Amino acid sequence: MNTTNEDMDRLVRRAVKMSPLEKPEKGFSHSVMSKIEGLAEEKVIIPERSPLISQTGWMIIVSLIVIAFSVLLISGPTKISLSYFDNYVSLFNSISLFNSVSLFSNINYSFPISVSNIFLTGLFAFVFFFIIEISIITRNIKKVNH
Amino acid sequence: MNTVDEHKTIKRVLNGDVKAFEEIVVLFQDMVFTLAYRVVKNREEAEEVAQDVFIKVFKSLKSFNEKSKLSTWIYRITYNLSINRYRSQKQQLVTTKIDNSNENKLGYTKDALTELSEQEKREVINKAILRLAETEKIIITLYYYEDLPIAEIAEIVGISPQNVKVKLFRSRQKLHTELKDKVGLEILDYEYN
Repeated sequence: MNTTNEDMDRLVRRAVKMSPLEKPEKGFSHSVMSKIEGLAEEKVIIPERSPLISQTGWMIIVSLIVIAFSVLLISGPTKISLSYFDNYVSLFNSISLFNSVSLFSNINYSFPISVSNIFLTGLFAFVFFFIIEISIITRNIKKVNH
Repeated sequence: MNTVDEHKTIKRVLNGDVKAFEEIVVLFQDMVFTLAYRVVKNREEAEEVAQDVFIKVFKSLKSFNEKSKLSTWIYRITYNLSINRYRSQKQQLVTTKIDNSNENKLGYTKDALTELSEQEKREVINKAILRLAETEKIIITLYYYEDLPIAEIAEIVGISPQNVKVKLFRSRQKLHTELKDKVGLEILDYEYN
């Protein structure tokens, strides 16, 4: 006897429905819910993002910049020679330890370049802020990791 | 739970009532677990998959498109996660063959039919379903248990409705061939009529 598609469908439906749906272990929904609740709590406790540099920090930085510019404006656009480094060099040479080393005593320490006040101040400010920024970033990264 | 209730529950969850999500878990856990189990063929792994399904559903509830049915969306996630797990299982070890020793005890002949208890029949049917290809199992389960229309099944398994029809026809034939002697489909049919 040839079974039609409809017959097959009916028979297979009966057979398949004989076998009930599988059930997970008891307490499955509880274990899912405890995980979900954990997730929901995690979602709520998102650490508040604090700015890298606080408001007070910015105030100090701005004040420093204002002071630096004021000093520059007052002192005028005069150029200074880096030859004042020679003073340090002579001090360096006066230390007996270095004098005793022939290698140091023969070196000419004169600085032929001269730079402006603005450049120097800018350079110092850059180094100063760079150090501050690095220390703040490092502290912040450590805080986030802990 | 009808579509209106579904959307109300989703809104409650999205408004912070996490406990409301339990309604969704309780409602879909059996079907999600059955689908997962039929693909991964291992209860522990199926439970893990089912758990992952609900966690994923919870996490992406915000992105759920209210125009579609919640069940379709959940079953699609279940199908994808189960297939992923099955593939990684396959890579790790040779797929565990279904234990056939029991089948031999149950017998294939029509004479053994009368000796098969309801429980044994269920076991044979289950094993026959598990022997189908992964997508076929999902299609058969959704079609016969959930009475889902072909278009919705196609959306879940990500193939065309035409393709679903072909797969449904083939798996139906396979099941019929395998079960007609083992559990006496005609007798079953007679018993029910």
